[in-house]
Order: sequence, then structure tokens, then C-alpha cells
Amino acid sequence: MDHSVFTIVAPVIPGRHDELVLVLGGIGPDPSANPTLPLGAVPGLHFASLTIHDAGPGGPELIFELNVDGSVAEHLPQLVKGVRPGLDAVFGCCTGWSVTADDAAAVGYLRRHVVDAGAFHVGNTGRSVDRIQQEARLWQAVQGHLDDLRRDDTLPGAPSQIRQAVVDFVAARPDLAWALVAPAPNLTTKELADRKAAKATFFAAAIGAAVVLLPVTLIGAGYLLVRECLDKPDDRDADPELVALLEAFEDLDGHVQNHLTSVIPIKPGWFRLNLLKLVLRAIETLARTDFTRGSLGGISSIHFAHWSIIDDGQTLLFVSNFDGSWESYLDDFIELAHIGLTAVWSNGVGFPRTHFLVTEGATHGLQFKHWARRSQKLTPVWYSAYPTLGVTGIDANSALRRGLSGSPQPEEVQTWVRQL
Amino acid sequence: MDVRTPITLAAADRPDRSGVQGMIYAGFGALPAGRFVLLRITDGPAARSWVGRVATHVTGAPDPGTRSTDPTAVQLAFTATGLAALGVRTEGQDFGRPFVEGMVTTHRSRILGDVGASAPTSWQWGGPTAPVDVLVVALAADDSALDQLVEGLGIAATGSGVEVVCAVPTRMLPDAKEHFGFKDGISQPRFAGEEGTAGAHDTNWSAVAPGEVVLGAIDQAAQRAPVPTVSARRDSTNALTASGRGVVELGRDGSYLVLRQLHQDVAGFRSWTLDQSGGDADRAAELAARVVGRRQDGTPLVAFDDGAGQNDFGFANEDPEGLACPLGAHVRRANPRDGRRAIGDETSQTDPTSTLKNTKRHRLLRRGRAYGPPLADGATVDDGVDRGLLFVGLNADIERQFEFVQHHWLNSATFARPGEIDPLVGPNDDGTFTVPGEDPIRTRYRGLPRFVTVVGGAYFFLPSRPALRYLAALTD
Repeated sequence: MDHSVFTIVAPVIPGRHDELVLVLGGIGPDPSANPTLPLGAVPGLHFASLTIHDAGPGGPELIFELNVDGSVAEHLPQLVKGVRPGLDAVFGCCTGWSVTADDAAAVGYLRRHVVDAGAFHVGNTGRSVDRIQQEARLWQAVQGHLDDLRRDDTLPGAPSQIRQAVVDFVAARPDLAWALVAPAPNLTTKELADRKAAKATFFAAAIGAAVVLLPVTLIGAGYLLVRECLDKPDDRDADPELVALLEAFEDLDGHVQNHLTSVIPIKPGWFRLNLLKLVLRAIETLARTDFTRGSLGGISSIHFAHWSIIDDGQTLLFVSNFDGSWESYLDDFIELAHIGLTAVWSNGVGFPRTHFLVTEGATHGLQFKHWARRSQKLTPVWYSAYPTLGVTGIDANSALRRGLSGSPQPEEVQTWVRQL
Repeated sequence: MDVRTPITLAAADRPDRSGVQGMIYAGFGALPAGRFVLLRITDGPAARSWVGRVATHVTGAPDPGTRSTDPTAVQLAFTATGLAALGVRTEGQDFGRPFVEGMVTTHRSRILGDVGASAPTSWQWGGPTAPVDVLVVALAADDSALDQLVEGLGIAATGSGVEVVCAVPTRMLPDAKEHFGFKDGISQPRFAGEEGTAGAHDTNWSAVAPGEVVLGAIDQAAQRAPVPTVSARRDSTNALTASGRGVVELGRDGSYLVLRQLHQDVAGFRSWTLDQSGGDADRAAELAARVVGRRQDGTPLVAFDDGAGQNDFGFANEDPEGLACPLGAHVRRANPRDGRRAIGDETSQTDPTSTLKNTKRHRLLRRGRAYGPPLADGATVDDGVDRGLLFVGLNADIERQFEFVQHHWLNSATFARPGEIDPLVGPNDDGTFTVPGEDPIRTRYRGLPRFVTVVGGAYFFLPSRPALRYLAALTD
């Protein structure tokens, strides 16, 4: 099973901006079950957010972020079917939407406004919303049962017997019996092989082109170095009032996750835009092959995150759904992933001083944090289908479930039992 | 694993040892009697004169490689409101945002776990009903010397410009233990690159660049935390270092001091561990050790090198699954060393050296002291007496260090085992603590209550001694 990670970006009708703010304000406090746009009713939806980007080239824009199961083409009809009245309320404030048009026309509208991720990361590869939620319930039930066995002094001693006891318990529970069927692999061997081939092709082509066009490459590199010296880092502190406003929506009770939306003007000119596209392509290629087991360069707290280029190449959008606080997320970036991050964001206006595209940049930790805060937009609507689950916890739930089927070797059983 | 390479720092990149307040380098272990006095400034100009008088008593750091031999010690720190009341106006670089805003904001209370019984509205000091401006730490060899010392500071004198909000007598419990009965303060960061400060043997686990604690010095990222500056024109003492463009460094050789008064429910801790162990005292002690992550005498639960003060050990290779020291044990959350790992996390943080390096960006120098008398040996019923720890953490960046550890490690439900937070100090309300094990499976302890309640707290700035002279000499 594959995920689709994208946004729908639509211009707001002049004069309807304030109405849209009110509509989003009504949805925000209960994004799952509010009467207008109950996102919990949309099948296959992991995370979603709605943000107004005030400084679009033609005026304000609505940015609707979606992280879903299956393809965009499969998802959009389900979205429209699930929450059409809410879409009318929201997109009714956007240019070209018709509340009287039929659902097919509505799907067509959304389709035309889809912006695909330039590069995205998924923490729990291959797992659907339903499976994540089911496996979380399985974990709770099995843990409770093990506690009961221990309390009643009926817990067997050998790992294989413990596993059998768990399998028997699950088999006897009609609501859990699905777990005894082996799940599809997160990524099939063929999928991974195809992706690796694509990666080899991409990097061979990129390196090949760089070598064949060596003079062009050298001129490009020289040009980059000169530009980097001329670029003006914006080292102002973030406005404390903006930070306080953003924080009011962070680390909410009952959530282990947070969300951020960042909107950055791309440095002007053909060169930066195309360099950025190349970097995103490289990161996307790596994300589909090397970072499919939960961690992105050592960061294992990201559920769904993506970069995309919007506004006809003028703006770099970043949206992320992650575990833990903003502060810890940024620290992870600075300490573990600053190279990739700098390669992307140094193409944005005001980024901390960077050399050779990847050095320094985000390692100016505090300056980078201020820059990141300044670039952030308040996200008035943010939805998570499983707000109490972390990326690693979801993996632990899947590991428990995987161990219930097949005929594992004794040492595999031992490890599985130890990790219960 | 060997990461013992000593780093050498030029003098300008190190703290000025003659300028810092002593607690940066000394725990003053020879001075067991103490009092933490929290003050409100009632008259700015008068308070400045008072600061000037007290500043002459403020204790400096002992010489390299020696322990403090001062017969008494006085340290002085200020909240943001305190500095404002004295007339401080930063110019150029401001103080860090957490300090400026203070410990009590809605968001901070959420991330620090200051909710429910620990909510600031019920604090004895530092909350909305009892704000504080100044912290005086007074330490002496015995109670009568302490009384004399505090008397001599003239806090209560007419025209001091300050009044007492709260005075908390502190003590040192036998064998450097805290009230739950565990030896405390074993793992401390030591400044790398300074003679006589880094321990001979445990440098690899403890050595951090001094800029992680002291402003103006180089930190682990080979950078300097921002040093708050003020206009040179208002520096009549010429005591502060110029920082270009007409500003001088008020913050240099200072540190942010996090103070939290933590009430400990000792009877609750003892009775919960006993209940969970069917009344068996040995098993209860074993469970308590798993909760803390060390034995009562400080012995680590994982294999360690005996020669280095119970501090020469890691988690990554010694105990990756937490079978000896649970992944969620208090010391493992507070300082995960080289082995930060959540259940289910198969891919991240696999390189112990880089994990340790990252961990060192979040260390705190601790100078806390116990308050209140110990609960009678073996008692499992509360005697109604307030006791606990005055936690003191020194750091250069409150967000990256104190708040990060508190929020992302101690109180995080995704750090170790899903849904669990620190079993010892977390705001547990019917919480869960899992001890991984092969006997034959993990043991899950349910119904975990809150053992520690926050009853006061504030963010202070601990200025250098020259900066204290600057404060005293300010005019409106």
C-alpha cells in the first residue's frame, strides 16, 4: 500500500478572506468531528491541515495539506463524498469553486489544484490508517491480557508457549482475529527494487551530466559560491508575539504530535529554482529507498512531511506532522539532518549563511530556529487520525502483529517475546 | 567506546574563572547548612545599593583543581522582572526568550508538566500570586553560622529595597542522598578544556564544552550562546567586556539558573513500591532501583568501570533493550548518554558516538539541595511535613537544555515505552511503568501515582561578579 502526500492550493476570492478565517476557526477546535468539515469521516486520511497563505502572488491562498492512503485519484472522490458540505464552506471562499456543481466537478476542481510533494517522508511506510488504528488496539488488548495472565499466575515460562498463549487469545477475539493473517510487507521486494533502480538511474544521470558538462558544472558551482557570498542572511530574532501565538497551538493535551507549516520565498532567479528542484529530486529519491524504515537520516519522529514548490516557482512550502515538541524537532534537524535541510532551505530567502550548498546553514542552530519560526504560518486546522501514537510506537505495534503469523524461528520468537 | 579526546580552548573561549559566581565550579559540599531566600524588589534604587553591598560577599570559584575552602558562600541571581526593577535595559542582544517570559506561561506549564497538582496557581512562590525577583543562596558550615551570614546580608534592614517572599532552609542528607533515599548528583557535566575540572577517567561521558553552561564560552557546537548586552554608556564601572557598537556584555560569564521546588511524597513512593512487591522489602528496593535507574548507593544498573565515581558507563552497548536499566528509568531519561532508543525504534540513533554527542547538547549542571527533614526510616505513612528537593539547573539555553530534557525526555510519552513518562518525577496520574525483562516477559506496573509535585519555580540569571557590580552602579 502506498501513500499520497500532497496539497491543494487555491486562490481565495478577494473579499472572502475574513469569511474563510471564520470558517477555519470553527473547524479548528474539533477537526475530527466538527459539523462543518468532520475530517474524521474521511476514509484513509492520516493527517490534514488547512492554512491561509496571505502573501500568494495573486493574493491570499488556501493551502489544504493531505496525507492519505492510496493514490490522489482514488482519494479525492472519497474526500468529496465524505465531506462535500464542508468543502463547499471552505472552497466556496476560493476562486472557481461551485457549490451547485456535481461531485464529479468538485473532484475535478480539487484535482486541478493539486500540488504534488517535491520530496516527502513517511515514518510508517506501507501502513494504512485502518491498520495503524487496529494494530494499536491489538497492542492494548494483548498487553492487558499478558497482565491478566501474570496476575492469575498462568503465564507460561517458555517463549514459544507465551506466543501461543497470545495467538490463542487473539484467535478467540472476533474483533482481533484479523491480526493472525500476515500483513502485507511495508514495502514489497519488487517495489524496493524498482525504486533502487530509479535511484541508480537518477544519480548516474546527475553525475554523468555533471561530468559530461564539466565546464557548465564548474561555472554553476562558481556562480553558486559567488551568490552564497552575496546572499543576505536574515538574522533577526523571531517576533516573540508570533512565537507565543504559534505555541498556543502546540503540545496540546492528548497529543504526542505537533504540526508545522512553513512558507519561504525562494531566492529569485532561474538558477536557484532549478537547483532547488534538483535537490528535492535527490532527497525524494533517497526518501523512497534509504529512509523507508521509520527514520529520516536518524530522525525517527516524523509521520508525514513534505516540501513542495508553489506559486509558479516563487515559494517553497514545507509541512510536517511530527512527534514531540517544535524545539526537539528543530534540534533533531540541526544535529542529525542539517546537510539535507541546508541543501533545500538555503535556496530560501534569508537562510543562515551557507557555503557549497550544504555546509554551515542549519548548523547556526539558534539563527536557524529564529529563521524557521519567522517562516512559520499559524495552522488553524490540523487533523491527526491517531494523535496519541508516535512513529516508533506504531512500529512496535506492527512488530507485535507480525509475530502472530507464520512460523518464526525460536530466536525470533525470543526477541518478539522480549519486546512485548 | 573512546571519545576522550581532550579539547583545548583559548582563554577567550573559556569562562573567566575569576569573574564567575562560585557555583559554576563548586557544589560547596563542605557547607551543609543552606537557605534559599526568594525576594521581591520594592524599591529599585534602594535595591541596587543593597545588591552592591551583597555583591562584596558573593563567593567566587575555587582555584583550578581545588575544592572551595570558603567558610560561607553567597550567590545572587535575578529573574527578568528583577533585572527590570533594577533598571536593566538590554541593547543589542536580549536575554533568551524563556528567561524573558518566565517559567509560568500556559505553553511552558504544558511542556514542563506543571499541570494538575503541580500547576503554578498553587505554588508557594514563583506563581501568579507570589512572583519573585531575586534569589539569594546562602550556605554555611552550620545553622548558627548561617543565621549570622544571612543577618549580615541586610535583607530585612530598613531601606534595603527588597522583601522576603519565601525562605527555604536546605540541608544535605547523609551520603549525598535525596529524600527517596538515592545518592544524587553523580552524573555532572564537567568542562572540557580546563585544567583540573575534567575528571581523570570519566571524561568521555561527562566532558562538555563550557559554553553549554557559561555564556560567552564556546559550546559543544563550537559556537557561543547569545550573550545579552547593554549600552556601554550606562556602564559606569567599566567592568564589562565591550562587544562592539557601543554595547557591553552583561551576560558574559553568567548562566541561566533554573530553580524548581519539588515536593517529594516519600511515604507514597515507599508504599507504592512495597504494594507492587507484595510487601517484600527486597523486591520493593529492586523496583525502586529500576524506577530510578541506579541503586540507593548510586551503583549503576549496567556494567560500569569501578574507578570512575559510578559514572563510567553507557547504555548503547551495555544494555540496548533496557533489560538491566529500563529504557524509561529516571536516570536514563534524564541523561540517555549514548543509547537513546524507544521501543519499536529500529533505525534511529544507532551510532553511539553521535548519540552521545547529541546528548551533550542537552546537559545541565545541577546544584540542588534537599529541604525538609527526612521521613523516619521505613515509615510508609506521610507525616505531613514538607520535604523535597530545591532543584537547581545551570545552562546556557533554557529551551535547548532544561526544557528539552523536561519535555522531550522526562515527560515524553514517545521516548521509551509508548504512553509512559518518567516514573519518578513525571506528573503521573494513574501512570504505567514497564520493566523490560526475560522473566519470562516484561513487568508492567499500573496505577503509578505522582511522587513529585512542583510547589515553586522560576528562571533566574546568575550574573558574573563584574556584572553584579554593574547592576549595583546603575542609575535611572
